Amino acid sequence: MTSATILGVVIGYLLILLAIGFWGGRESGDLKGYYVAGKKLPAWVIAFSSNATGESAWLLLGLTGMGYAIGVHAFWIIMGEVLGVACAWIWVARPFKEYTDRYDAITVPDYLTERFRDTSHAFRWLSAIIILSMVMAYTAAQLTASGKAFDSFLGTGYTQGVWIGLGIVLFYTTVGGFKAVAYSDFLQGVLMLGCLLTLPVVGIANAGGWGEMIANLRAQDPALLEPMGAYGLTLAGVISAAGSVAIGLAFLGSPQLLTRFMAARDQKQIVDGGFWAVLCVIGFDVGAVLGGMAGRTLFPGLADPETILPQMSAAFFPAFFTGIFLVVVLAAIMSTVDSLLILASSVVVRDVVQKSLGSTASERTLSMMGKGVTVVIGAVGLVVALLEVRVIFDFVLFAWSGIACAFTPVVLCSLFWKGTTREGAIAGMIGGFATTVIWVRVFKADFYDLYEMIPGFFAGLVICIAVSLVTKPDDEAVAELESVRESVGPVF
Amino acid sequence: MPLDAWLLLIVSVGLGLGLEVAFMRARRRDARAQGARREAR
Repeated sequence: MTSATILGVVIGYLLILLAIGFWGGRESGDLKGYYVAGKKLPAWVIAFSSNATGESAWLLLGLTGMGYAIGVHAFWIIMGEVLGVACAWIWVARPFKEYTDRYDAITVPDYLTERFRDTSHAFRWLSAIIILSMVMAYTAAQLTASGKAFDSFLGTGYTQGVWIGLGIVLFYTTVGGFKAVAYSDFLQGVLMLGCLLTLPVVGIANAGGWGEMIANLRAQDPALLEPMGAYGLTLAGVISAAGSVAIGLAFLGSPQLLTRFMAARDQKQIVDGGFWAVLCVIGFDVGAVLGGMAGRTLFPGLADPETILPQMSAAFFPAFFTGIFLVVVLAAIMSTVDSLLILASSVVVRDVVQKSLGSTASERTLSMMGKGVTVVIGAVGLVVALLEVRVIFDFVLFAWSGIACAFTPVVLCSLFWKGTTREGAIAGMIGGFATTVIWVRVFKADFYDLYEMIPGFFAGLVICIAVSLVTKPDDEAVAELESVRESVGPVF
Repeated sequence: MPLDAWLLLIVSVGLGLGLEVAFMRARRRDARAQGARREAR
């Protein structure tokens, strides 16, 4: 009976996703419709969609696990993410939207190519290499999580779970395009928020109230209530806190998040959406960390802290809500996979086939090709997930920060510094990406596990600025930046 | 919870939220000013 209820909830959710796919299909006949939903999305959709994409299953399993394992020290992650989302919407979104509307750009490499008047297609090829390698690894990891989630909640078996997860995502992504992706992400974001607001309330109530929970945590380990955690005020503690705050840097320039700003209907949607996005990420993160802390008082001594959410949902909620919690885990996985698949497809079809190779195929043919590429990339992710290729999985360790460090410093320089040159931007992309990879492989273990986002981001920034200083910016691009600044107006 | 932990939580949430609220107020003020300019014309 219980598993029938859970199964019913999951099937109901999957049917809704399929319906969204059909509904979005009307918009996906050309490239602009398929990749940015015709640039017609309202504020509330882009707000929830960007947050649901930015947070994968890591939010539900990883961050609740961190609240469980390190307690108050995980508040630094809240600071990084909330600041990152706020700064992205306040400073980055409006000039980026203005530029991409002027260029009629539908991908981030589109924007970079036009911004730097690049005729060599260097930005398009470079972006394709970075995005494809990272997306395939990340997609494979998320599909692995999907297989495990289906298997552990419904006993489908790992392989079947991977197939079901990919099948549903591929359907609504290929049929419905970015419109279906954005609206399904909105639904998934709302579900995730509801779950993460409920979890700590129920957890704290079951722990005997706030005071009891804090007393219990103090009795277990006083370091759980210390901002610097078990490290104390040491170099290792500062590095750990800085790494947590740095997670938020990715929100300032990752292409899968910037696409949401491009797809907004107009500037007003961005002004309105920022407030919802910030409230949403606060709910996500505070709920996850406090839920994990409450879980520590209820289930002390778990071998794997990342299982605290399933443990709590099974213990304190009726079967219907356990089904909802499974749906929420699936939602977190799917909202990331769909966005990555469509991002990778856009880079192949728009940037490589149409713009770099100069294909003269019709928009409709290219849109069909985009759907085919989405399936192929998903299939590669499927093979990797089923074979559990070890080398590829190592890439996942830095997939999030790898993409972020390649694009964020360059996007920020291109939006705010008129001295940025084409050569500087290319060098910054390569430098940021390479530093991230090398840091994880060679240096990380010897530097208190410093999160690779910090060296990767700053290396990209310094290299971009240094190379730009010894090369000359395009005069037209300089005048254009002034004009964009004037159109957007002051921030405060 | 110790005072420093509360402080960290409030700053973590308040910094981003405060920036966003200040931004929205500035945008509303600009919109009002633009409206007033249009009416004056």
